[in-house]
Amino acid sequence: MAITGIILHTLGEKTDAVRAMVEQSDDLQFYGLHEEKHLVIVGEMPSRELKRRLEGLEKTDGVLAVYTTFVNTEDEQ
Amino acid sequence: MSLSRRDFIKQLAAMSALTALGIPTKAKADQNIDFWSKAVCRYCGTGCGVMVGVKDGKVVTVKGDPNNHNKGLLCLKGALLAPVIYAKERVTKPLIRRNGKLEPASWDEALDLTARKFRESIDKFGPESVGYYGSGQALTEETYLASKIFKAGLKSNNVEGNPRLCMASAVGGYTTTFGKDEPCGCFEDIDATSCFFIFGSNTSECHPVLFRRIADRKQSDPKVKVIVVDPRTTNTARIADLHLKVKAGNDLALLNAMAYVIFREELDDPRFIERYVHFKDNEKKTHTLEEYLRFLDDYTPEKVADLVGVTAEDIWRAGRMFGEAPASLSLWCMGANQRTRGVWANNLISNLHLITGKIGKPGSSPFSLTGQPNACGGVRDTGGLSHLLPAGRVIAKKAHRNQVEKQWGIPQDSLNPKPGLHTTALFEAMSKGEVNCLLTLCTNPAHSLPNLHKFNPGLKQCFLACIETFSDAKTLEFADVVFPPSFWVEREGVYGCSERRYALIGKAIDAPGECRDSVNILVDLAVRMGVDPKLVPYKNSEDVWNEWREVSSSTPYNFMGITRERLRKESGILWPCPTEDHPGTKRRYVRGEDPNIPADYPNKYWFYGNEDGRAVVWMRPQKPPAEPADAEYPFVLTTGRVIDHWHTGTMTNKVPEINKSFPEAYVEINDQDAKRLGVQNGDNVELISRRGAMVFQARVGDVCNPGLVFVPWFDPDRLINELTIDAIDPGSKQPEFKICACKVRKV
Repeated sequence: MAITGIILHTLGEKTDAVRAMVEQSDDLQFYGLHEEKHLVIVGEMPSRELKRRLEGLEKTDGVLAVYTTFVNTEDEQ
Repeated sequence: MSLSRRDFIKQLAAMSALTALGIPTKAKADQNIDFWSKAVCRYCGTGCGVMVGVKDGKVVTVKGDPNNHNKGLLCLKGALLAPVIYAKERVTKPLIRRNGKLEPASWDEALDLTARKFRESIDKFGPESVGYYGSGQALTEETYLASKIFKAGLKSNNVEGNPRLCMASAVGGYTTTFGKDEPCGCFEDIDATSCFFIFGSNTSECHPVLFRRIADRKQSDPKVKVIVVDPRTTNTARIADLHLKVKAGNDLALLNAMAYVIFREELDDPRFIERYVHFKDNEKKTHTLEEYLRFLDDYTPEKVADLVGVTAEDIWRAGRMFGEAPASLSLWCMGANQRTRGVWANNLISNLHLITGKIGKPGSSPFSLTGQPNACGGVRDTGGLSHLLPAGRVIAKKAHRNQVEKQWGIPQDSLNPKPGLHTTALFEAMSKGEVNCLLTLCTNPAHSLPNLHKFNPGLKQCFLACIETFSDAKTLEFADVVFPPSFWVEREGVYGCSERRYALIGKAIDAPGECRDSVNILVDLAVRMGVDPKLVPYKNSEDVWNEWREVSSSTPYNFMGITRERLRKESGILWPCPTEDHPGTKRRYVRGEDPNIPADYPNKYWFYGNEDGRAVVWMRPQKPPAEPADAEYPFVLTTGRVIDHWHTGTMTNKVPEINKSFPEAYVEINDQDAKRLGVQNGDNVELISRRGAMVFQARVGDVCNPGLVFVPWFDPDRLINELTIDAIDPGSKQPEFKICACKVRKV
C-alpha cells in the first residue's frame, strides 16, 4: 500500500466541506490546514490506484488543485 | 509508545507536504515525539534550520525550524535525514586494515597505530610529510582544532579540505576585490531585490529552499527580473526572464560586456565609483576609469556575442536589466568557481555591483552560494586551508603568524612560515611519496577529486587514516585505519552557512556502538602523536568554540558575541558579532551595520579589507578553459548535482525514497546531437575523455546546449571524476570540474 503526501488547494468557502470529506475517507488522513486553503493529507492506497484517486480528488467540489509531495511504495516491493 | 515503520513513513509524507507549503509541522506528527532538538540541515550551504524529533532515544523525524532563515521550509533531502542516521553502513567500531581487509580493532590499537605512523614519518621526513584533509561538513570546532593540531602542534601546513574543490575561487574573488573573504550580503536580500543575476548556479536543484524564496520574490512583484547564465536549461532557468544559454567557458567576456553596456547606458554610479573603487589590471597596476573603459571597448556585445554563444541583443538586455533595477543581487555557485579562471569570474561579477553602487543596500549584493553546510564556517573562517590561519589571516604574513602564535600560546616565529600544499598538490605529493600519512575527516576524496586515476594511487600508497561515518565511502577502499565518529545530531557543534550565519547543531541522541565525537578523536590522536596537551586542553566542542571566539575577536570576523548560550536560544547569528547584545551583521562594509566601522566614520562605506579602504574593479580579460572541445574531443563535459542526491551520495543513497527515484547517474545530451549520433533516450552511450571512458544511459532533450553533455557526480558506481580534468585556477587552486573535452559514442 503506497503512502502519499498530498496537498489539496481548496476554495476558501468550501475548505470545511473538503476537510469533512477527507476525514470521512478510509484511505485519507488529515494532518493540517494552512492559510485556510491548503489541506495537508496523507493517502494510503495501492500505487496502481493512486493516479485515479488523485484525479477523483481533483474533481471534488471545492478542490482547485491536488499536489503530491511524497510517495513511498516500500510495502509493495 | 513506539512508532511503527508505517506510521513513521506517514509522518514523513505529511511533513513533505507541510514543508512544501513552507510551514512547520504541527498536528499529529508532533504527538508521537518525546522532544524536539534544534539543528542545522546536514546538506547544502543554505544552512536550513531544522527541528529533530526524538522518540525513545531515536530520531524519528525532521522538520524545518520556523525561527531560522528558512522559516520552517525544507527540501525533501533535509526532511528525509532521519534514515541516514540509522543506515546499516554506519561504521560503529574502529577498523584497521589487516591482510587487505578492514577489521574491527580497539580504539587504543587504531589511535596508537595512526599516531606511530605519523610520528615515524615526521621524525624521518619532517612535518611536511604528513597532512590533513577535512571537509565543509565537519563542525567549525573540528576544523579549527585539526588545523591547530597540524599547524601548531605538528608544524605541518598541509591542512586542506574539500572546500578547495568548491569554494576556493569565491574566497579568491572576495579577497582580491574586497580584501576579506565571505559575502557581504545576506539571504534577506532575496526578499528585497528587483533583479536576480544567477550565474552558474542551478539554485532550484542545489539550493532548493533558497530557490523557493527567489521564486516567491519574483511572484510577489511582476517588476522583479531574473537573469540566468547557464549552458543548461535547468529548472532555475525556467523562471528566468532572460536565460543566457552561453557556451561553456567564455563567460568572462559576457561579464565584461555587461559592464560595457552599463557604462554605455549610463547606468553606472559615478559617485560610488569616485569614492569607493579603484581599477586594477592583472599586474595589480592601478588604472583610471577612462583606462578601464578603454579596456571594456574590446568587449562590446557585438564583439563577444559569437564567442559567448548568445545574441548581442540579449547581452544588451542583461546589462540594462542589471543596471536599471533599483536593486540587483548576484547569486553564483560552481559554474563560476570550478574553473581555471574562477577567481576572475568572481571578480567580474563583483565588478558589476561596484560600478553600479549596487552593494551594501537591501537587495543589492554579490553573493556566492556555498555547496556544503559548513565550508564558509568551518573551513574558510577558521583557516582550514593550507595557506590560511584563523579569521582571515594568512600563513605567508609574519605579522599574522605572530598574532596567532601569541593567541595559541606558542613561541613567536614557531609556526611554519611556508604555506602547505593545496589539494591537488597534496594528493600528487602522496603519489610521489613526498607525503606519507594523511588524516581525513568527513570527506570522500576518492570520489570527489578530479581526474581520479591520477590521484587515487597516492591514496593507496600513503598511510591513510579516516574519520568516516559510512563504510561504503569510496575512500575507505584505501584506508588503513577508520575511526567511527558521532554523526550530525549525535554531538553538539556549530555550522556556518553561505550568509555568514552560524547556528548550533544540538546533541539529540547518543551515537551508536563505539562512535566518538571527532573533537575527542582529534585531541586523543594529537596527544598520542606527541602534541603538547596544553595546546589541546579541550573536553568538548564548546571549549574549542570559546577559544575560536577569542581568536577571532581581534579581527574583523569577531565572534565574541556568538556565545554557546545564545546559539542554544537563537536560530543562527551572522558575524561579525562583537558583543553578546549585538544582533549580528546583515551587511558588511556599511556604516551603521558593520560593527567594524565606527559610527563617526565619515563615509557610508568602508572596504576595510584593503589598505586604502576601496574595493577593486578588476580588468580581467577573457580566457578560454584549460581543455576546450576540439576536433578530436568535440563535446564539452560538465558535471553537477541533482536535487535528489548530494555530493558523493554517501548520505542520500541511504534514503530508499531517494534511491528509488534516482538510482544511478546518466548523461544528458542535446536532442540535435543525439539525432546526429543516432542516440535515443535510454540508449547506452560511452563518454570518452583524455583520462578515461565510461558508459551512461542517455537522457535526450533540450536541457544541454548542443555540444554539451552533463553528468551528475553522486554515483559511486559511475565515477565521472575519472574523466574530469585536474587543471586548476592558478590563484585559488580550484579544479576545473565544470569543463573538459570529451567524445560521445553510442554503444
